[in-house]
Parts: sequence; structure tokens; C-alpha cells
Amino acid sequence: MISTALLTIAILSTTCGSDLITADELRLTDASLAHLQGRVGDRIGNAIQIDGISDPVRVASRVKIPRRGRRERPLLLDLWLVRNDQGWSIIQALPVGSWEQSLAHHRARLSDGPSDRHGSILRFLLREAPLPARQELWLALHSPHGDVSRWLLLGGQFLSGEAILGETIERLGLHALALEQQLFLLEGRWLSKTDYYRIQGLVVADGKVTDSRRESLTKSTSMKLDKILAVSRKNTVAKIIRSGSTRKSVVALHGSPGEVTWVRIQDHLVEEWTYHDQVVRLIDGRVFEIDSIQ
Amino acid sequence: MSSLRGHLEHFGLQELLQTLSHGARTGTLQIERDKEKVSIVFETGHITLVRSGSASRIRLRSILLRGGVVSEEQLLNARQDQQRTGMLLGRALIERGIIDDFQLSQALRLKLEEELFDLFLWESGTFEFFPELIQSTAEDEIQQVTRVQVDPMTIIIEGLRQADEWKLIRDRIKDLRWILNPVEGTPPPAESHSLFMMIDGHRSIDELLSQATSTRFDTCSILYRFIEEGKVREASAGEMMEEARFRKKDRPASSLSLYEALIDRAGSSMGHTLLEEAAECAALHDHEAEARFLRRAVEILKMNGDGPGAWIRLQRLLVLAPGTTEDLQNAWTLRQHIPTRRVHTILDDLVRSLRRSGEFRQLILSLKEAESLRGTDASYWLQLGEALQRVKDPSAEKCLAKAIELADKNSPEIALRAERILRELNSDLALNEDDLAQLRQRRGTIDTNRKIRHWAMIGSAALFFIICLIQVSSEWRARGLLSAARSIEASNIDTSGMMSAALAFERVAKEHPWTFAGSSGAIASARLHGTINNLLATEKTTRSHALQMQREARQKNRNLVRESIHKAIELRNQGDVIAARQLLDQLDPSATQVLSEIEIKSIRFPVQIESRPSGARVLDSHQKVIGNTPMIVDLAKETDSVFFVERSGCKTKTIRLSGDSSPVVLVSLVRGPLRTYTLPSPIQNSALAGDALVLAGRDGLVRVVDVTQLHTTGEHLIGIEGHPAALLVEQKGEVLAVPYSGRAIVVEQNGEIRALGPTAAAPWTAACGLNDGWVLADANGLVIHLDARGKTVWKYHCDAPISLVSPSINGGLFVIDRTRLQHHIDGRGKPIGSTVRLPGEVNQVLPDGRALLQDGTLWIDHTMTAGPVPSTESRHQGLKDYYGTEQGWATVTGSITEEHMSRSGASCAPLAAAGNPESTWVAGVDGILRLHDPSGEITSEVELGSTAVDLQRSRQGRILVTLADGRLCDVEELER
Repeated sequence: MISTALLTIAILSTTCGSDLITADELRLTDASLAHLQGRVGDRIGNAIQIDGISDPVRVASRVKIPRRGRRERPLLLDLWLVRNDQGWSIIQALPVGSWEQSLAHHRARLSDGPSDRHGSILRFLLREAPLPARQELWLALHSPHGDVSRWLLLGGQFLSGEAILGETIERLGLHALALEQQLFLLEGRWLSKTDYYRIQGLVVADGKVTDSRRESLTKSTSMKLDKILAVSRKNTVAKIIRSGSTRKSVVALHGSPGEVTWVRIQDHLVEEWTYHDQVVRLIDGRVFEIDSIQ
Repeated sequence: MSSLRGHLEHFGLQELLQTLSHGARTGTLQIERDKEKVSIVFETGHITLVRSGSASRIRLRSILLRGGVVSEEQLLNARQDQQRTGMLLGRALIERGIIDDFQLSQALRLKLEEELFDLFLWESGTFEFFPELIQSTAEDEIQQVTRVQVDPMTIIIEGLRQADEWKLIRDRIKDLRWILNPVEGTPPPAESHSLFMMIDGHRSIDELLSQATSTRFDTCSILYRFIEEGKVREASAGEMMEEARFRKKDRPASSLSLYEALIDRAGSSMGHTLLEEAAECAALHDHEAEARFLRRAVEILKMNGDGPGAWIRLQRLLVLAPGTTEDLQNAWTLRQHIPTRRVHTILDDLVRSLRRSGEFRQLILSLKEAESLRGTDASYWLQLGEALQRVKDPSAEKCLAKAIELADKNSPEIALRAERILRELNSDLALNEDDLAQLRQRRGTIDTNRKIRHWAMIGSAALFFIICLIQVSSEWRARGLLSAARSIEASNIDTSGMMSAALAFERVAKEHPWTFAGSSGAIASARLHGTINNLLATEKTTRSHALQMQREARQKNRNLVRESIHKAIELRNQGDVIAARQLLDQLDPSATQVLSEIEIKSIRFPVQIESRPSGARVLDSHQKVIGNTPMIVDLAKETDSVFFVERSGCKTKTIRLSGDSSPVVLVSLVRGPLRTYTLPSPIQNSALAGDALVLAGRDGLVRVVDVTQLHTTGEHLIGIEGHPAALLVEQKGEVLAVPYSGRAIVVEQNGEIRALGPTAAAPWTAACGLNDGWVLADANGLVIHLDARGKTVWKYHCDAPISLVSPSINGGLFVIDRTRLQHHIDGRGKPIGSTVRLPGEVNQVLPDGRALLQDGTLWIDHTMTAGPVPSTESRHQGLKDYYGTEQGWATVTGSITEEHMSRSGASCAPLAAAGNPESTWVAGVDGILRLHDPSGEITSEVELGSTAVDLQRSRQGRILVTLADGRLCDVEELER
């Protein structure tokens, strides 16, 4: 099988040609064989996620994906992909020898390659580069006569929270532009919108920004409303908080919560009371769920 | 047990060997001549071993060298092994692989044969044959291992031939110790060239034999031929002497051998010089030979009539061999040349020696010759009598009688001894019993006296020894003390140290007065005392000078101090307390010590007591009014005085002051609230509607309190217990209470309430008054404008939860969502312009659009001005906005933010004072409400007892303070 794959690679590479591209460019290519560099993510069954590619790609049988430890960042790989009826499939994966070589190669493509791919290549380089190289690369991309907004957006996207981003905005006096590009200044650091929303407990749902806790409370409760209603209607007089306990009992035992949020689902008031060590969820004034906070 | 013995003169060696060989005998034949002894082992008629001991002149190494089996160097190495391991030479050579067993066997055979041939030269001697084999040695074992066996018949034939030739040789070579010289002008022989070359006038014949490569017999035969042919001659006596002298230092043994040869050959014609030279040489290693030569020299000297010379040599002899009878007799014969004192000693020694050797006749002769010397001595006659008695000479009795006569009184022992011998001889000359008893008594007395003398001597010696011991011990201890005293002296250079050293020296002298160390101690002590006295005198002079200087300086200081005190009193009287205290405080503490104690105690330090507010009465510790603030009190140092500062409406303060207190003491008179009302639960928010104070807590209730009476007029459950407290918004005398969930209510001025607006679809997050109506905003981004009756005027939707709503100047509304977007809406709910993203979290938006951010930045139309970070919400009052900070509070006027310091950070938004808007009430996190005047000074303080949540001003002109612990209190605003 491996020999077949290698043979395929050889045939296809001779017939179709195969420049080394980035994972982010895959959507722009129309060839049937792609040789790209990307960082693999989670694997579910035969499909694997690659950074920069929206949809998972298949892994051909007997192809081994080099891995690191669970807690380490996955390896940057040299991948050979073949397009077939089911989409792209990985037929060979090897670790990239040297990041410096890759950086030099793709930076050269920025000046030589097609302009429609510049954005993808930049995203790849900024995402995959180690932090010092990333900062250097981002600073090198700055041109006062170029698209500063776009450059700033890239900086926010890939250097969110880094000191270099704040220093550069400060030095170049780009506060207003940064705000326009949805960068957020929080405690002296400029953050991307994603990071800011995450820190502020906001999520985007149905095109609207909403409180993440309310959103998750709605989602988790609406699916099992009957069940939690049944659980909450238990009569209990225990001296601990359990399903069925009233608000009064909860306040009596734990005091007022640190944070409270609530949602209304089918005329039922669902609340989430957050204490320092646990989350108590109530429906219509009675407890139906208690989660401890690790 | 021997089976055969005899003399060689009667039974020759050849006959012996023949007999034992023919008889196939096994045993050991021992042949002895003088001190030489040779053992020959026979095994079944064959000779297997000849042992001639260390005297053997036949050496294995010579045989090996002669045969060319080994070299000198190999032999030397083997000798080193031999010395290291103790093994025999032959074994060492085999171990080194230089020779093999066969070569060793051949060499041993030659050795054995030569030793046997030598025996044929013996013309006299004794022999004895034992059937036993002699005990073998390591050397024998080697020989036996190599299995040397010699046929005696071969030996006999060759031995007899050699013996015949030896007789001829001996005619020409008489002494093997003699040196041979080559005859000058004679050509070297054609044969035996190497041996001829060895003849150099320095080697003796023995030395040539041992160094030659042929057997002794062969070598001697060649030498004989050389002499016969006139190629070699014997050295002359002079040459021999010269060689002997030459060798004396380095080779004394061989030198002695040459001397002996010379002496032997010289015979009776020899002079004593040669003998003395030989003795001198022998003195280096052979004392026996030395004595022998000296004796012969003495004989010659005696014969030559040189008595003194003979006595000189005899003295050396008497040292070398003391007590030798021959030497003593010689000495006796020379007595006329010997000092008399020494003659007596020699006679005594001779008598002793002759008596010991039993030569009584010689003894008698010698004693008789000594009569002129010792004829008056009783012991002489006793010795002579005893000797005569031994040879049974009848004249012994007379001699003994003379001994008794001479000894009688002085030497009773001699008399008694002579008497005893006379009695043994049954002589008539023996004493009678009375005389004998008298003699014995005398002897007893003498013995007793002797014993007493003996014991007295012992006692004296013992006493002397003890005294010496004590003295040595004392000296030893004294030296220890002296050494210690010297170390004290060396380690101390000051007077006290020298004193200690002097005392230590004194102690040595005192405790050990009779020792050398004691006397040294006394001398050192005297010396040190002298030095100490000099030093003390110098110190005394210096000290008195220093004291004088101190006294003068003290007087000068005293004048200066008094001057300063007078000046300070003047300043104090002029009211300048600070300057007065500065003067007094600058006084050096050491300077004040120059004053008398009474003067020091009389110094008073002025302290000015001030109060805030001023005009407070000051009472002393006896509660007696001493004045009103500000006032000056004069206090002593280090003595606390209690004062009470009181003012109407304020808490009385007790202060403790002394001369050490700061020159100006400010007493803050803290007030308390006028009234306090405790609510059932803690309060988070409050707002004022006329005389009704609306309070909201986390119990879901909204309470309405009448501020004139300070009592609750209504409680309304509008929220849920545990939820955040309701938002309270004040507008035109009414308060809108917006719960976190549920429906808002409006509290009217009279305390009545009415519900307003819809029930919450999502948590209400913001509210404000707008155009006589109200605005509510929720977490879904919905903004509702309600009119005063609660009817919805318009709705506006944002894409994110609302965090703040605030009316704008033009009747519009600012809405800030949680993505920091600021929406500007007009009075009809339509957006004005595009949204703006604020650069930070917002604290308050002012009607003119200014935004105060959480980080203290004031944002005005994309322009930012940094300011202090707010720690509370802000309050808009008049033209200013007030907010609390960690250090105090800040005011915002236009685009200018000004920070003011307080003693404590603010716990809620500050409140401008009613009478003077420039003065500000600041509730501190330390639970004290302070009124700061425009300069920032605190002009009034009210102790609240808890942190304030909110400040409101009632229509009665009082400050209504809502406290975090659930209390409500009012404070009189105006300063008295």
C-alpha cells in the first residue's frame, strides 16, 4: 500500500507538478495532488483536522501521522494530499525538517507567488511561526502605505495579548484604527475580539453577542426541561443543597451567590447561581443541578 | 662412634683412601690439622663430598670463571640474587639460566678434586673415620643432587704426583703471602702469558692463585717455572713493606697478611718498628693480632734494654687484654720504669692473676721481690703467708705472724685471717683465746662502724637525692610560672596588664625563692614595678590635664545651653512654639548634662494644642479648664501629662503629652452620626425620593424609609432573594427600582409605589431616567423607553448585552453594550450616527458624551485623557462629577480630571457639601466620613463604624449614609 502511495505520488508529481504550499492555500488549489505544510489537530476516526483547513481531511489507510505527546503542540508536517470523490486524503505525512527552511520558502513565495494567495500564506506563517519569528514577521509586513487595517487585524489575530502588539499600536498611534478593527484594550494589552469575548464571558450566537453562561444555560436546560423539572420538584428538607432545595435554603446555607444569571424557557425561570466552589442551577426557584468548580 | 682413627704421620692419606675405597666403606672421614678440619664423605667406597668449611681456598666461582662457563658480570648478577634470596651461588646461576646442572656438576667435581689434592700436602694431622654420614647442608644437597662421585684411586695417583711436585715448588715458593715481581728486561713467556701479566709487584701469590684461570697446583707450577727461568723474582722486604703500607688504609686485612709474612720471614733479626707498624695495622680490625705484635715488640724492646719504651707498649697491651698474666709479669719486670702508684696496681693484678692460675711459686717470687715496696703492709705478709702455706713452705708461719703483728689494731680482718691459717697449720705462733676474742671484738666494732658509715652514706645520698628531686621539681614548676608570667607580660602593654605580669613574677619569686626561676621572677617583678610607676605617673599627669580641659569645656557648654534656654523662653512667650521647640530640641543631650539636675528639671518644652474644629476646651488631668484651643502648654520631658479636649457635639478626646511630643498637636474631634437606624439586611443601593429613601438589598426587597423619622414605611418584594440588588434610578423626586428579574416599580415621593414596564425577559442590566420617563435595558440587548406611566415609547435592539444606559444632553440616550460599542439614540429611539467603540470598560457616560472609563481614562470624542483609576461609581453633581479612588477622590470638570488625597480611599461616590460646593464629603473605607475643604484639609470627621455604600442629602440638609452592615444614619452637615 505504501509503495502504491509512493508510486501515486511519483506519477502525480511528474504529471501534475506539485509546489509546496501552505494548508491555508488548499481551498485555492484546483490540482488533484497537493503537497503542503500544516499542523494536524484532532483526529476522529479516519478524519483529521488540519489547521488552516476548515473541513477535516481523510487519512489514507496505513498512513501514519507522526505525533508528539498529548500535552505538546502537534508537529508541523509535510503532507501529500490527493483529491478524490470524498474530498482530500492524506497519503503521506512526514515531519518538517526545519522551520527556518519552511519560513524562507513561504516568504519567498510571498514575493514570487500569486497575489491572491498572499493572505493565506501570511495567515499560515503568522499562525505557525514561533513567537519571536511571528513578531518579526508581523513587524516586517508593516508598510505605512499598505493596508494598515489589514495588517493590524493580522496582528490582533496572531499576536493578541502580546506586548509587541500594544507597543506597536502605541508607537504608531493606531488606537482608533485598532478599535475600528475590533481590537480591545484590556488591562494594558490589546486583544483580538475572540480573546476579549472569551475573557468577558461573551459568545456569538445567531449573529448576536450574548452572555456565554446564559447561552450555555439555555442550551443545557431546554433539551431536558421535563427531566429537570421533575428533579427539582422533589421535596427535601435536607441540611445540604440537593435537587429540590429552594432558593431560601440555598441562601441560608451558602449565602448570596457571587454571580447570578437566568433565562426563561417556556415560562420557566432557570437560574444559575455561581459560588466560588460550585454552581447551583435552579428552575422555578428549586435546585435541579449542582456542579462543583474545579 | 669412630671405627678408625690415627695420625697422618703414621698412616698416610693415600693408605687411608685405599683402605676405605677397597673396603667400599660408607661414612665420613675427618682430617684435622691445627685449626683446619676437612670432612670427606664416602659412599660405598666412592668420595661423594668434601667439606672443608669456610677455610677452603678452593672457590666455585674461581672454577667457573677459570673454565669460562660464566662471565664476571653474570657472576655479579648471580651474587646479587644470592644476597637477596639467600640461595647458593650454583643455584642462583641455574635459576638465572646461566649454567645448567651438568656444568654445575663438572665445576663441583673439579672443586672436590682440588680440595682432595690439597690434602696430600698435609704431612701431619689426625684423622678419624665415622660410619655415619655427616649432616648435610644446602650446599651438600646441591652436590648430591648433581651426583658428584669421585674414585679415590684416581685422586691418590694425581694427589701423590702433585705432592711430589709441591715439594720442589715449596723450595722456591716458601710463602704464598709473598709478592712476586717481574724481572725487568726479561721477555714475557710464550705460554701462560695472562698469568705473567698479572704479576705486577702488587699481587701476592695467594692473590694470583685465586685470580688465575688454572688450578692452584697448575698456577704454582707455572710460577715456579717463571722463577726458575728468571722471569719473576720474590719482592724484597722493602717492597713488601711499601705494599703493606699502601694497602693499610683501604685493605687492612691483606696489608696485615703482608706484615705477617714479613714478620715471619724476619725471624729474630726483626726490629720492633715492623711489629709496631703491623700492630697499628691490626688495630683497625684484628685486636688479637695487634696484641700479638705488641707482645713481640715489648720482648724486643726489653731485650734491647728500652724499659720505658716497653712500658709504653705494655700499657696498650694491658688495655687490649687486661689481666693477662704474661703482660702483668712483663710489667712487673719493668717496675723500675713504672710510676710507684701504678706498680702497686700491677702487683695486685699480678697477685690476683697468679693466684687464680694457681702459680703460687711464681707468686711467691713476685711477692718477695715486692717486699721493699709493701713490707710494712699486713696484707702483703698475709698474701705471702698464704702463698707459702700453699706450697707448704714452713716460712709461711712467720709471714702470717708478721701479718698478725702488723694488722693487730688497724686491720683485725687480716689478723683474724692469718690467725685462722696459723691455727690450721697448728702453729705455735697462733694467738691465745683472749687476744683472739679481743681481735674479734675489734673487728665487730670496726664492722659496726663501717655499717654505720655505710648507712650514713646511704642516708646522706638519699637525702641529697630527695633534696635534688624537690629542687628540680620546684625549679620545673617555677619555670612554668615564669613562662606564664612572661606570656602575660608579652600579651599586655597597658598598665593593668603590666601589673598582672608583675604580680605573676612576684608569685614566682615568693613561691619558689630558692630556684633560679624564682630569682629571675624577682628581677623581672622589680623591673616591671619600676616601669609601672613611671607609667602611672605619666597617666596621672595626662588625666589631670584632660580633667582641666573637660572642666573648661563644660563651663562653656553650660553658658551656651543657658543662653539657648532663655532665647527659647522668649520665643515661646512670643507665641512661636515651633521656633522655641526647635531651639530646645537642637540642644545636644550631652550639652544639657552640664546643667545641674534642678536646672535640667526646670526646662519646660512648649507644646501647642490645636483642635479641629477649633475652640475646644482643654482640661488638665484634674478636669480643670486651662484654656481653649489653640493654646500652649509647657511640659517637662519624659513626664506624661493627661489633657482632655472637648467640644459640644464631638466626642471628648484624651491626649497624653510630654516635652517629647511634637511642638504642635492637632486633635481631631470626631463626631458621631446624629441618628442611626438598623435595617434587617445589608443594603447595596439607595436612592432618595423626597423624604423617602429607597433601599435595595440582595433579599429581593425594596424598602422605603422615611428619612425624617428614620423608620421603614414600606417593604416591597420585587426581585428574588439571592439575585443582585435592584437598580435604583432617581428622577424628579421619584425612584425607579429595577429588579434583576421581574418587573420594575416606581417609588413616589410619598412612598407610594407603582409597577412599571414589562416583566424581564432577560436580566435587567441597566436603567436611567429619560424625558420624564424611564429606560430599561437587558442582557438580550433590548432597550425599552417607557413613559412616566409605564407605557412603551420605543424599543431599541443591540447585538450584545447592555452594560450601561445614560441620558444625553439633547434628550437622547447613550447605550453602551458589553462589546464596548456606544450607541447614541435620539428621543424617538432612532440611532444618531454610527456606533463608536470605546477604548475600555465604561464607568459612566456623561450627558455630553464624555465617558469615564474603568481605568480612569476620560474619553471625549476619540480623545483620551488619563486620570486616576476609579474605585467607586461616579456621581454627577452640578458641573462636576465625583468618584472615589484608592487614595481619596477625583473630580471631573470638562476634560480635566483632578485627584485629591484623603486619609483613606473612598468607599462610595463622594458628595459635594451643601454650603460650599468646593468642599467634599468623602466616606472612607476606614469607616470615617470626612469633609474636605477646597484646599483638601479635613474640616470635619464623622465616625460611621462601617463602610458607607451610598451618600444622599436629605431635604433637611443632612447627609444620609447607607452603611454596608445594614445601618442607615444621618449626619449633620454643617460644621459647628
